[in-house]
Amino acid sequence: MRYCRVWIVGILLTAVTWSVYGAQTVKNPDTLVYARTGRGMVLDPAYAYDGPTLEMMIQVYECLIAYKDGAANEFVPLLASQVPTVQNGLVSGDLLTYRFPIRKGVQFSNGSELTPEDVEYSFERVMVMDPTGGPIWMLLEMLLGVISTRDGEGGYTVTFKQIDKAVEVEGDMVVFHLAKPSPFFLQILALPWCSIVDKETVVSMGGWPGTEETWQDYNNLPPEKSVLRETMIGTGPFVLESWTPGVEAVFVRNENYWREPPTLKRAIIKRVDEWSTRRLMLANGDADIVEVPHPFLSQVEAMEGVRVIKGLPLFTTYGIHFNQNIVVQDNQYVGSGKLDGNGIPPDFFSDINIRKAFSYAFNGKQYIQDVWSGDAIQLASCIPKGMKYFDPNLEPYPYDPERAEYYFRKAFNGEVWDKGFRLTFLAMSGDEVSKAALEVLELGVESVNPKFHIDIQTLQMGAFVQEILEHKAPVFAWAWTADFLDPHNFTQPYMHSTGFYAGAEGIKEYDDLVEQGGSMPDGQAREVIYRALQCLCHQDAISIFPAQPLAWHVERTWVQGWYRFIPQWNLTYFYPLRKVES
Amino acid sequence: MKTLVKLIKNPTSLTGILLILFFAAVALLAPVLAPPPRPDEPYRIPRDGFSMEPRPPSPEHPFGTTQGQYDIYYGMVWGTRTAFRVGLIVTSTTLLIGTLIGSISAYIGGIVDEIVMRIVDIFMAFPSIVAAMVLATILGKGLDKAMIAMITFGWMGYARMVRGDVLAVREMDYVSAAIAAGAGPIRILIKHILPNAIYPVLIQASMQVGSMVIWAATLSFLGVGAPEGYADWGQLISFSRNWIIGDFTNPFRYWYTIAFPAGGITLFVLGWNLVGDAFRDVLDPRLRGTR
Amino acid sequence: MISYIVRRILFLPVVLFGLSLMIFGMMQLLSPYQRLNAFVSDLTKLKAGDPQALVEEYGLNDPFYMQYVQWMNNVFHGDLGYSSVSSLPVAVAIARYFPATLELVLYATLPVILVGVWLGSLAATQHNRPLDHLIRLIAIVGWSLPTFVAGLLVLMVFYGVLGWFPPGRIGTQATGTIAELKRYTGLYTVDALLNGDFKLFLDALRHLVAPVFTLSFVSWALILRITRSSMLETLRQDYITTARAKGLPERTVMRKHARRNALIPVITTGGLMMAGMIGGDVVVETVFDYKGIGWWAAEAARQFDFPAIIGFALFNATILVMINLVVDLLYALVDPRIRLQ
Repeated sequence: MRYCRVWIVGILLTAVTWSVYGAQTVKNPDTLVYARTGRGMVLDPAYAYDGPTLEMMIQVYECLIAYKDGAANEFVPLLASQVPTVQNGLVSGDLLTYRFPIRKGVQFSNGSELTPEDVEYSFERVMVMDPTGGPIWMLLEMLLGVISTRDGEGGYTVTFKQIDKAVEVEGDMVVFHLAKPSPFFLQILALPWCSIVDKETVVSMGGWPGTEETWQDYNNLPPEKSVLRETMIGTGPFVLESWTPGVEAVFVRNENYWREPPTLKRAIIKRVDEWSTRRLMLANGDADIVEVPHPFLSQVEAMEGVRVIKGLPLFTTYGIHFNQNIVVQDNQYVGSGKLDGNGIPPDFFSDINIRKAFSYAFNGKQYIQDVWSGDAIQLASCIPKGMKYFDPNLEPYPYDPERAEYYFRKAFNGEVWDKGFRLTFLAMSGDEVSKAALEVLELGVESVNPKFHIDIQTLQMGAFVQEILEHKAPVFAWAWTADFLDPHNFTQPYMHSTGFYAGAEGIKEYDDLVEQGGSMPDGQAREVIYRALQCLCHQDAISIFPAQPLAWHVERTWVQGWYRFIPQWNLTYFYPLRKVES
Repeated sequence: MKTLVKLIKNPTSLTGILLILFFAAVALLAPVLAPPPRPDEPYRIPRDGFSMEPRPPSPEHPFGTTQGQYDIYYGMVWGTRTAFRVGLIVTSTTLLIGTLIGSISAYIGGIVDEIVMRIVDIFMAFPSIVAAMVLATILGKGLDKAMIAMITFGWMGYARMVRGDVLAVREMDYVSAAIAAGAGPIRILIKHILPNAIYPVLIQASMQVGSMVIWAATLSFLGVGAPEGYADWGQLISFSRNWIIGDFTNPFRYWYTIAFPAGGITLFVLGWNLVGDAFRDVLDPRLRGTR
Repeated sequence: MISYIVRRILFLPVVLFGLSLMIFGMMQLLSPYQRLNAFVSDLTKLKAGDPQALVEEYGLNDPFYMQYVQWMNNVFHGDLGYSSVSSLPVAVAIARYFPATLELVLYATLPVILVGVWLGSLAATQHNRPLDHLIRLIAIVGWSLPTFVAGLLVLMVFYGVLGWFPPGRIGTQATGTIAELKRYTGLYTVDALLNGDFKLFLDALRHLVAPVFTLSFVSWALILRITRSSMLETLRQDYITTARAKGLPERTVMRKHARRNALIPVITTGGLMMAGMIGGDVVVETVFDYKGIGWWAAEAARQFDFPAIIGFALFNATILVMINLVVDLLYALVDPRIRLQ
């Protein structure tokens, strides 16, 4: 058909024209594009606990204080005009009262003035809401001494008066009353769940009115009922212009920002799941900052016009965990459930010889070299390097097949060695590095004795977590990222019976020590406790810690000003960024 | 027999047959061509180390290694077995189920036929890729789970087709003659109706084998189905997705991660499609009157 | 005729009911913990007792019929539920993502049908000669290529090497314009024209080329095959021989007699194909970062976002039933031999 041919030629011609047209407009000097995986979920400070959502919130909301650039435990005032310390009198001698003078002349993006009442409301609101699985337990623990407002039986653990008293306005200041002294209170205050919202705005949108009568109505609302789930009215340098969940979020400069407005007019977080696509966007300049999975760093390092910053400290630890109290009924991962060569008994890992044997059978050096190309370190215990009180003198168990054999022979009076065993390691599907760690361990253990049989299975997240929570996973590998920079945030999950990992492993013996360490003020006494905890963690070989990765950041060379706004996370903060023609 | 000769004479169908025979040979000879280091887990592709960057073809790895150092050659060889398994099992099962449901429904007719066809419509209203993804994700990782998902949502076409054919053939004279002669319904169905109604279905089935393999590969690509490291062409391709754009200096640097598996899957599917297509052409005159 | 249409439309609620029941049934295969995935952002941060509390709150442990009745109740009040994957109510999510898919489908259907019909009739007229074989070979190769392979290759060549057609729906510089745009349809090309922004129109078009090309490349083989066999059958008919015997030029024979009748099955197949594409091509949308409902449904499937899955299935089914009805009506209109039962 002739017209068909014309049509095709027409397409080709236009295509060529567009390519020329398109090629000229690659650079967008006042717009920054950041391509990453992951999606923002609920933009309400009471709920937000995941990287992508937090990354969106830090552009628009602000807290009383912020981390000082480059320091893990120093702060600069943000919406407060001073950082409280004991020296300047804003922290009481018994460390139970903190006073924050509130900065004047700050406006929210909708013109509303920032007042101390807004601050009080922001904190009381999140404590009133306290959704299950959210981040507010940290505030509750420090201010009220509980980790949930609900007691699990339909009742409440606190009264409204207690919430009300915990945060109060005194003239130009906001005063916090802590339940017990906490060495990391200021840390938590710098994090996005302590974002300051405007009381009038939130109340007018249908949020909690701030009264005692209504507080229970707003407690633990499902996320879709939160009025702030897709709207952010903050004091921050940017305003959320538009958000298509799961696709992209567009931020536009807040011209009324109380500090110098940002250089960028517009910043876009684009969700692009395909690495190849992100890489091409980076190469073509369609993206200025891009999330790069570790295995592909080598691809990017060779690119022209791209800057790779490596060796950034990251407070994430990967762990291989031994379940010391396995539920063997209906459990497909423990074989026969008995020490008969075809399975393992429930208390298999409660024998320290087994745990030590596995630890010596893990070739950490090969793992770090092959899987991380050296961009990670193996840890001797649960506290990562760079964290306060980290003990540099502890060495992880070296790869020593002979010692492994020795401990295997000792275990269960030699029965393990004679009969052998069979079990399954579990990892989450998609978590390549954890799976690789398990494979390294599998190799090491199986090569010691041919009667040792190990399978590895990956499960989808929900199924994976279920097996862990039901204590059916005999050995599983996962990671933990710090919420705040304090060793307690690592000892709690890994060594306290209410922690996610220790709870799954059935460990109780360190509870007292962990709790003590978590409520003492910083100082020598505290250091002693954490040295002890690390020592115990290592000696008792409760887990293997195959890697603490070093973080990296990849951007085009024309991007300037990037720094780690929140040191423990690798989030991108748009405020200081600018694009400079090189 | 005449059909067979016709098929071989036709150059396109001959190519198809040869392709299929080639792959069948590879599948049968898999233990010889690529001896498994773990005899009890032959479908687990051996890994030569753990580093992520693929390595080009070499004497130890004739097709190179893919991300995570899985041997591509091994994956291709044992993946052929997987492809045949998936293609044949899913196709034959859906064919069986569809034929059974369609023919019984058509033969009984009436309200039963109405209800069954509505159920078929309901299944067909759910897009098959998404449906299979949902079911396979629920059932968990594993090729067999993916196959169950595909079977659950793959039989409807056959049911419809067979039903239509049975309805048409049912009215034919030789069927009335058989009924008059006193033959029972099952006998009539099996001996008289089905053999005449079955041809278009068989043609469709032969072309579906290839589609099933693509469907399974797509599920693998989307992260559903075979576990990581399983010998499956779709898996191999999904490993390649981060490397096919090469690196900055050379976009084709990791060509082998996609060339071999993509080539394999395309040729395999091509073989079945060529045969099916020629089948249809050769049997074309017979189709008239049944649809 | 009217009763036929009414009967077909009345069938829709049956389909919707059956589908929702089926999906709910699938949901029951999951344990409540597994379904938590959709509701919680970081499962490691759950405190002891949290999972059980969450399961209670979302009613994940309630018996099947209770959960289903609850859902039905909501639907009758106009609430399709909340899609956790997109942080939006399901109905809003569909409205947000569907236009992207629609745009893709509309632009893809045209080339697929045009090229397929053109090449199909060409092949039929050159039956069993070299051109016929060549065309059929190319078609089969295209049909044998998995979509994701084709997509990745297209991305590699046209974006990676040439830089012509970037992924996504719109370029970065146009993002600001999109925000200020008055939305009429949600289709960027149409809206751009309606707003008088020609530059935006071209930009949107540019981003459509690669995914449309990939989608078309894998689909035109089907239309080609149908056209070809239909043409072959038509060309054998007596009235064609008569027309030729009358001395009519071949071109008229083709255009006036053969093609018109041969195209009848193309209508059915084309309609069904379009209906199939409306569900969104998951692979194309993923590879080209072109987020429509196909992509959304796949996300929902992976994360057990059941309100979204059901919403998607119901939406798709409705469109399918409508399109099927239209196709059948068209078919009956065009082919006098067909009787609607």
